[in-house]
Amino acid sequence: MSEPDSVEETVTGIIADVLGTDPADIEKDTALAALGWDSMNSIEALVRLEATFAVDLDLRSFHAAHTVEQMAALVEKLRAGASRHA
Amino acid sequence: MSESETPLAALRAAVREHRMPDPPLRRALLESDDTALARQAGKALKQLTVDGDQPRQVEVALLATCTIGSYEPLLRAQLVGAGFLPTLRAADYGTFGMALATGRLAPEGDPQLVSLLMDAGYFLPGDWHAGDPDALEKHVEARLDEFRAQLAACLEHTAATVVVHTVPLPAQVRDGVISLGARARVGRMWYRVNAALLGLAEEHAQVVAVDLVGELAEAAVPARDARLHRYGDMPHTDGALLLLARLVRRVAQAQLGLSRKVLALDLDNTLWGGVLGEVGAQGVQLGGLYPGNCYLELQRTVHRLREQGVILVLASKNDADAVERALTDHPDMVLRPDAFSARVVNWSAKAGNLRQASEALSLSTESFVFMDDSDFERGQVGDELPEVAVVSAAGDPAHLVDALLRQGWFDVMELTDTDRKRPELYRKRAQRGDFSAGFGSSEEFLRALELSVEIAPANEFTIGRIAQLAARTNQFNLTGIRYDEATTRRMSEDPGHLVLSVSVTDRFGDEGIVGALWVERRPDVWRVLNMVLSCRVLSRGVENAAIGWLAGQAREAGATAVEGRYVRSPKNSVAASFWTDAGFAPVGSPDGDSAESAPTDFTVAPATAAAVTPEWIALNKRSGFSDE
Repeated sequence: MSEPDSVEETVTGIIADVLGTDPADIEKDTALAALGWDSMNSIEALVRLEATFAVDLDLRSFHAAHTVEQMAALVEKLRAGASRHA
Repeated sequence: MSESETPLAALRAAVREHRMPDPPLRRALLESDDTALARQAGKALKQLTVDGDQPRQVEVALLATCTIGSYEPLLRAQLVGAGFLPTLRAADYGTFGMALATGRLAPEGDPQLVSLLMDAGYFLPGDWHAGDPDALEKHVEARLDEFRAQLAACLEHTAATVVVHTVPLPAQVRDGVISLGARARVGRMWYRVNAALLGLAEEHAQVVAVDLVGELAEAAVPARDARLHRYGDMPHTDGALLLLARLVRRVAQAQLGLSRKVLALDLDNTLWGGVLGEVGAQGVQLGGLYPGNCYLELQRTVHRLREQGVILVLASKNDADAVERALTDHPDMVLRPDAFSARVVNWSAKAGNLRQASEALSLSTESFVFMDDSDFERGQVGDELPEVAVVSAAGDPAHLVDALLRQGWFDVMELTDTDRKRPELYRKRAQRGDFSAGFGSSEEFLRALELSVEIAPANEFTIGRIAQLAARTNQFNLTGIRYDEATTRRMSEDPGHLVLSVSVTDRFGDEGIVGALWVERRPDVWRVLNMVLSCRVLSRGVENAAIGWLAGQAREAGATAVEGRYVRSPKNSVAASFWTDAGFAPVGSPDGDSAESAPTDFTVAPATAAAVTPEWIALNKRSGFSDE
């Protein structure tokens, strides 16, 4: 499978879709709370991120991530860990 | 773009263009196990509205003992997949008991379906004393009784069908009990809870119970999501919710008249293994060891469908004589020649053959399911007749039975006598097609049919069939109102109303109950609230005989007018001129095409309409009311 997008771009796409906003309106350091982020949105995003990247996110660190940049870092860290163990 | 576009993009395009997603896309939505896709699809479809001809609408209220979460979009995706335009109303978190007990299911009015979403936590205590298993059992029993009482109260306030489901017991409850004997007892207690939930369907006509636990046993999805359970009171995984959404979608299909009635089957490598033309009747694989036992099991399954009223059609590219011999002579054959109501065995394209079978049986291809192992044949039928539900018989024959049954195409609410007799009726009906070719005029043909019509007030034995006709009849359905079983029963018991069944017999056999009328009976005016007639007796004057009979009764009762109404739907144009043909005059709004779906009302003096019974129809003596 080719992967044209960076993790950050894919995360932005998913979050924009969940929030129903334009990806262009979300900078990597925009605080998601400012965009109407709530617990239902966050679970929707969690399920999508986990399905897209085939990872299991830790809920505590996921909820500690407030920006796209932080979420992408979380995903990348897990993926690096997974491939090391594979 | 359309060739390569993703299902999600295609769905969004349909939403943008205000149209239903096309049949192949809807089929993909029904069959996909991809929960992420189903979730997004359901979310996108929330905005769906349709211009022009309206698809079947369904209103569903969702009540949950936990967070409803993704169940709403998953169910929406399934319902759109089945061809519905759904409106889902999810109750607020924490209102389960209140909504049930008060029967206030949706502030916008009574829905058609209520889907309950329950989890084990509803029945279990927060904590319990491991040394006192009796206390645990008592708590669970008490919760079950409470639920039972709330459900009964709810049914007093709603005419909706309520769908309950069996609930899986979390392993952590079982495994927390370390004595093996006590653990078995907890298991037994839980099976009793589920048995009681399933039993609710027998206690209440309005309740349908589906077995989610049974589905989970065979699906490769975990039932619980411990993380989201603790975090957001979402105990079920999306995979489990998708299974429940499928079960509830099947209930909606059965209840609202989208069940399929006809199963068209290929022969070679579908009903038996091998190609008859190459290996001969002795050489085909059927019965005995694998793979012959797979084909035998499929034949047995198909035969059981037939016993429940599914009409079988044989659609095979073969030599007709060889097929006849194989079906008759093969010792392990379950489906003998007579099992099929129509056989189209030739070398022509199968789409054309299915169309021909549909005409011979007078049943729309919309009620067809087609099963074939050939990608080519399935593709050809799928392209030309997108409304046909296509089932693949390709791959390992061990999966044949699952492939046929998995989508629940044939599910019905309840089986009636007419259902069981249907395949035989339709076999005769197909013969009748030949019979009609030999007559000079249609009236001559109708006379030779020796039609006899019996009209009778609904009773305990006929209410089920009458409600089923209301749910299933799309063409001759004057107002589109689908009175369900409970409402029909209430009306039949009420002196101000009259519910009538219409049965037809002809020289070929007894068609059984083929029509029904719901009538409001006032001293001066009798008003037909709706009338439905199965398409298999259309164009024989049966509808006129029924209205003529009703007018006669109205006259005897001293009424001065009989009124009726017609509400146009995408499928009922066949009944558009029914009232005027029977001598009724339109009232109120001028008869124009200005408002297409506006109802038109009609009225007539009873004496005029009483004369419309065609002379080729004999009204059976038993028609009418008993004098008891």
